[in-house]
Amino acid sequence: MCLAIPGKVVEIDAVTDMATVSVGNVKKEVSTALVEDVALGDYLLIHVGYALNKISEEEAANTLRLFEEAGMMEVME
Amino acid sequence: MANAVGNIEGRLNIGLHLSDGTVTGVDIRSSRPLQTPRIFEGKSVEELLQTLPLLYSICGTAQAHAAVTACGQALGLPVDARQQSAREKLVWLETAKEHLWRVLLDWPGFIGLPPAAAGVGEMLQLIKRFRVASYPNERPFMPGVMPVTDGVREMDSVIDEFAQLLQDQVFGMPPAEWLGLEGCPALLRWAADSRLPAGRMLQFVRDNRWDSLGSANIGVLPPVEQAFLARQLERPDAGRFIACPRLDGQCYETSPFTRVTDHPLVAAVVAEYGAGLLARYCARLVELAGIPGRLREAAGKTTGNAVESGLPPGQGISQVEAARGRLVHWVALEAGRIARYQILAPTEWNFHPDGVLVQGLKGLQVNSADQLRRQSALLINAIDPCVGYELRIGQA
Repeated sequence: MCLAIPGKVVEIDAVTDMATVSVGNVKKEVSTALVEDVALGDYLLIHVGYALNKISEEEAANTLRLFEEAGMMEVME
Repeated sequence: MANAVGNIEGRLNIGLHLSDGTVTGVDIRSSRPLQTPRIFEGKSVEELLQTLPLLYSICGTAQAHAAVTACGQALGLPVDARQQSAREKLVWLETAKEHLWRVLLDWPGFIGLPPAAAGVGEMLQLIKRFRVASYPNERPFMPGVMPVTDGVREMDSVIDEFAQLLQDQVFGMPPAEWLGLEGCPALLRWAADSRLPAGRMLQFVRDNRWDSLGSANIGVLPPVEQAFLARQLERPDAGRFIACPRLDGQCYETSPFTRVTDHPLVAAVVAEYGAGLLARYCARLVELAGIPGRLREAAGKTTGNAVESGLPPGQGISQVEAARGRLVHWVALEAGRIARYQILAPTEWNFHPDGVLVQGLKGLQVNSADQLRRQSALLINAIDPCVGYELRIGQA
């Protein structure tokens, strides 16, 4: 239900308001239309193709650790 | 690679069986990770409340409100009406954001318009300002943290800007005035005259004569006793109840539609066209239009009530009206740490194998598989799962 994943911004296309984020070693295209001032290296929470908000590196690491604990990141390792 | 990310978010696989132009079977399978709450076991209440809104960020405010309420009960903390009211307002703002997402990002896609992302982005900024005005420490969902009282002016101006956003991008008139439209003829005139996505979406449904599409005769989830729910969620096999919930053998609906069925505009559409597409799209707009008034009326008042849970010490349960319907959290603490945690989300009721979507699609008559695909997409969006979905159509 409503899970969102933290991803690190590795590429930005300001013209189309899109960014490429990496989640583990997986890359994903997301729209950044809803978030202001996205920069390379930022961590974003993503859901169904949109970045929802920026979070800190520490929050991202904690969230990913929880997914790993739940065995939900195995497919990416 | 996308599948790996999809595995975390989970998705619904919806299979339709089409035979001689009639939908004869609907099969919903979910890969949503219902057992995620297990990862909270062994953690402290503080850790739970910090991480839960990050994990469930799309409805994170409702999730956090449900969690802090259940945990507060388990810790034996008193309920404070002012705190409860301030938290409820944040949940209503999140519900507004979700409705705007449907109206400004999803609906335009159905009628050949570009998505209006700026309106949703603006809403996210308004929510941030409101949150900081009521909780400058940004910890609204921690036990015992009280809202401040000196942010009222900023909150009032956020509500004014929110109402203006709705006027400019959704209703073309003040939302309170739109709520006063009298009956179906006035609503349909508004839709026919509107140049904004909301009105054009209703007109699109009318033009295709899909007003009654997906009408289903399913009960509204009634108030459920806290102790009854706690018993279901405490059982070792609670996962079965969560995956497929029923009350006395019956499946129910819990959604924005069920929250506003008594509103005169929704009641008029249901009386004329049944509880189908037009009524559901109208209901989303009715609830959205009512939120600024709800935030203003509650300003300065205390609406929270202490609820006796009737549960053993160390347990807590909460029922919160989230954007998609009623959300239930249950917790059992042992020595200050979480021993067990369960979440029952509204999607479990609404996308149940006997739920409102299945009943609305069964028996549907269509000209082609393509038409069925388009109609199903509209109905699924109206009932609104909290995850993505894949639709398969099999023909005899």
